[in-house]
Amino acid sequence: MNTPEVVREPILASDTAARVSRVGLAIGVLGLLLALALGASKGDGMRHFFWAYLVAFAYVFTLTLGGMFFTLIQHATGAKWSVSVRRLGEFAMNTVPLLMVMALPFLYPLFTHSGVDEYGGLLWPWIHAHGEHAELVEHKSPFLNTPFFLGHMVFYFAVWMVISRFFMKRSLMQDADRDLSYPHTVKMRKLSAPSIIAFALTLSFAAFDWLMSTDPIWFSTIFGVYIFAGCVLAIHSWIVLSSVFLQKRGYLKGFVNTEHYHDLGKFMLAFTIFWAYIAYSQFMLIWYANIPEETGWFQHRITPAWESWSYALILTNFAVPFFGILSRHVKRNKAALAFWAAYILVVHFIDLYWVVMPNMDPHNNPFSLMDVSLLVGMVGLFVWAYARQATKSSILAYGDPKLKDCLAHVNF
Amino acid sequence: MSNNTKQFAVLAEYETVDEILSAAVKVRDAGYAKWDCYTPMPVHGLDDAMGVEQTRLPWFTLCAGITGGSLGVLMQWWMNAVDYPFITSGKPDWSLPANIPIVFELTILFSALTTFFAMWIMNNLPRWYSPLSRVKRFARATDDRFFLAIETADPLFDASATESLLRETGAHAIESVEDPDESPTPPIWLKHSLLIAGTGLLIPLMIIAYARFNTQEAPRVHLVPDMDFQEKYKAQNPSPLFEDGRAARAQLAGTFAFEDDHLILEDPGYYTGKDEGGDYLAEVPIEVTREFLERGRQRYAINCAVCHGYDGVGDGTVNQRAQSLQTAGWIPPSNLHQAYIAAQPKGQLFESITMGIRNMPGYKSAITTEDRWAIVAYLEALQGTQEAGARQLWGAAPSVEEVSPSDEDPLVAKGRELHTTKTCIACHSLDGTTLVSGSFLGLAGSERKLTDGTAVVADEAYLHESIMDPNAKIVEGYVPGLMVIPPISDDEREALVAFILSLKQ
Ligand code: HEC
Repeated sequence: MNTPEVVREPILASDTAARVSRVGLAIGVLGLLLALALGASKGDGMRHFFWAYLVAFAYVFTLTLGGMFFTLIQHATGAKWSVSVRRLGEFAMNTVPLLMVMALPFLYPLFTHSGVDEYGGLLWPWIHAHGEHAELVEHKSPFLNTPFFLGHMVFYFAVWMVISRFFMKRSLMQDADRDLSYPHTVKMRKLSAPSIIAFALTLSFAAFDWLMSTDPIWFSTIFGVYIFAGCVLAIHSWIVLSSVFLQKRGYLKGFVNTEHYHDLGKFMLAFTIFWAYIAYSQFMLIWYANIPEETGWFQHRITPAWESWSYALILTNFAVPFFGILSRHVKRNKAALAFWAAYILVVHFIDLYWVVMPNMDPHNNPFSLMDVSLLVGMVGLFVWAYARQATKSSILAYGDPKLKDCLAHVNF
Repeated sequence: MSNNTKQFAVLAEYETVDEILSAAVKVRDAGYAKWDCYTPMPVHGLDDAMGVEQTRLPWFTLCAGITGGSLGVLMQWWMNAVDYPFITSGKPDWSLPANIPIVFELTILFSALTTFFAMWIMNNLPRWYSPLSRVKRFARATDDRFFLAIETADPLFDASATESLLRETGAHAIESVEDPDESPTPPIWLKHSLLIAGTGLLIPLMIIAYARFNTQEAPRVHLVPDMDFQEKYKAQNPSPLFEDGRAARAQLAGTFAFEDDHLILEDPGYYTGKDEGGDYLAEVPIEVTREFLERGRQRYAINCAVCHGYDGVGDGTVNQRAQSLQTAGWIPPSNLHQAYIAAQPKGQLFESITMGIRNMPGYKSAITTEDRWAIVAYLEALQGTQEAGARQLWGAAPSVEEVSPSDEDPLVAKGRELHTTKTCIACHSLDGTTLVSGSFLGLAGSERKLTDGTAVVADEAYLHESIMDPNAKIVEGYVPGLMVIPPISDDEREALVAFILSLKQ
């Protein structure tokens, strides 16, 4: 093993990062434009577009919030193994401003009256309660109403903004600092635990507000945990892909080694299982109790239009990756692990699409090029915001006092 | 202690991690096999330095996990679908989603225990003692020193060559470890406590064995009362929640009833026991074969025998217990051999099982449609066994006329009807058998012994009084308060008394 000497120096990948972020921006803009054109051509007053936009938004949201959790949990546990990849998680976390901008288009379905007569609105069905369950939805209006909804949104973003700014800034300060009492390290460790509580609550409620309320009748208290499982799964895969890419370009050589990939792979496996565990917990209680207002959600997912998608989900998101990543040899093989990371990032979309889209129309699966181009576009923008940070900052948290231990770390 | 000691190993002591790492590499390269390193904390890279191969442990774990998971599925399939099929919550007998938690737990349990014990076995554990622990300096292996020991059992071991190899590795001290060759015995207190613990472990087994082969008088202990006595609304309970005061919602107008994935409308006779015109089916609408009857017998034994008894006279274990507790207001399960039940069209029996009747709950959700018909078919056979002399074993049931002759006095006929509808029949038979209380056959005109020692003749006045106020005169053997009857008008009482008088012998 060629462990590099820990010289406290930044690792800059400015050129590569600049190029990647430019490509990301281009793909993002093109993807969104294409999606807009396709959406407008559907002649449904952009209804399908907004629903698909919500899925793509949720995808970026899980990456950003996944990055936040990754960063926080490493500080809270004083983790050593992850120091050399933590900066990548921090970059993902620090894209909250982009997420805020991405949330702006939601104002349109929230306030417009177009589409109300034809479909009862363009997005969340509770905005204009309609149809046979209108009265039921009306009962939830103290929570599900536009001003309160927006108030929540602002609050979530404020919390995430504070957390991501703080942990990014401190981490950069830690790099530059030579004080051997490591004040920034200590400060981050202390504040990470309360931040995790704030994270858990805001993530859960954001999942309730944005995703669960696409079916305003249905409720599931574990839903936030389900989305959380996706966040953690996505960010570990994202970090694997990023660091494999960077190493291909000659960066981080020796800093991220087999042991670190092995650990990232373990988390990918663990959270594949965790995702299935939570998905199943949610399903089984509802299936067993068989209460109409709860079963409706699954009923909408076993219609002829969605049935195969639902069964595929069990295979693509659990059975296949479980056996795929189970072996230690796979986790310790960079190319194999990168393949599974990419795979998980693809099926993560299948999951989110399944969570949201049947609520738009249980009897029709609208999956089309527009959904894909929206996803690609939004991820392109995410890549832009993600890589742009690497043009200025080191891609390694080189000032972390645990870096030496991180590099000496081996799995038994 | 014998002097018969022999050398066990050579022990080398090092002071730093780097020293032991480089020493390990040298010993590994020299080709030794039976040797080990002892360090006060996990040393990263030591496995590599020693050339320790990747453990095979995960394979044991994987196999155990797969075994546990498959066993979980098999076990539940066998229990729920084969050995004792019993519908729960309207789910299919064998319902995979309900199995998953147990499959999951068994997978984890098997993997974890296997990993744990396989690890013990692979490490030659448990071991009482190691000769190394006799060496004084070795105590520091848990503190601040690193040790490397090469055992004499190694084929390459050579007292002087091995020692000089260790010296080359830069050991700070080298010591020969002796094995006194007296088979070490565990301390006496350990023997005793293991013996006590082992015996203690037998206690639960004995309790299980005892419970398995003995009947228990005491009611069971309720460990989780919340679960055993749930606060919940049952079908007919009132509830303040809804305007109409009913806990269960009525079906919406226009609801089509389904049964086994079929509209009941498609074949009302089969699903409800009544044809389109609302008349009971006279016969079982399925071909009655031997297997079908066997199935019926089995279903009856599972679902009905606890109350009605295996022989159908109504003296199942539930009834026996209720009688022994003298539960006030207990309505005993009917004797299924009573003529009026035997005379019922099959569709009516089917309906009683499906919807329940008076105090008996319905079994629609617990027994499949076909099985309910199998029970009906079996009931006929069961009833036949009791009257083999009176009618053909497999022949037609006696007609209703036979039971209540049409030339009967209308008042008596009305009384006969009331006897059933007012549930007298549940306790008082008409054929001389004693159910909960005496039979009405031959009651009128007989002499009744009272608890106060006197006797009365059961005449018309006595019968009236007994119906109006059951506790006015207490007959020997009667528990005051046992008889609970629905409201009965004067006319109806008149008819009932006339009927009882007609049974005079
Ligand atoms: C929990 C105890 C219990 C079980 C189990 C039970 N029954 Fe009953 N059954 C009763 C009682 C009590 C009555 C009398 C109800 C009354 O008179 O209020 C009764 C009455 C009946 C009657 C008489 C109906 C009539 O027209 O008078 C029939 C027939 C019958 N049961 C059949 C069955 C069959 C078949 C099963 C099995 C599927 C069964 N019962 C299971 C308690 C039970």
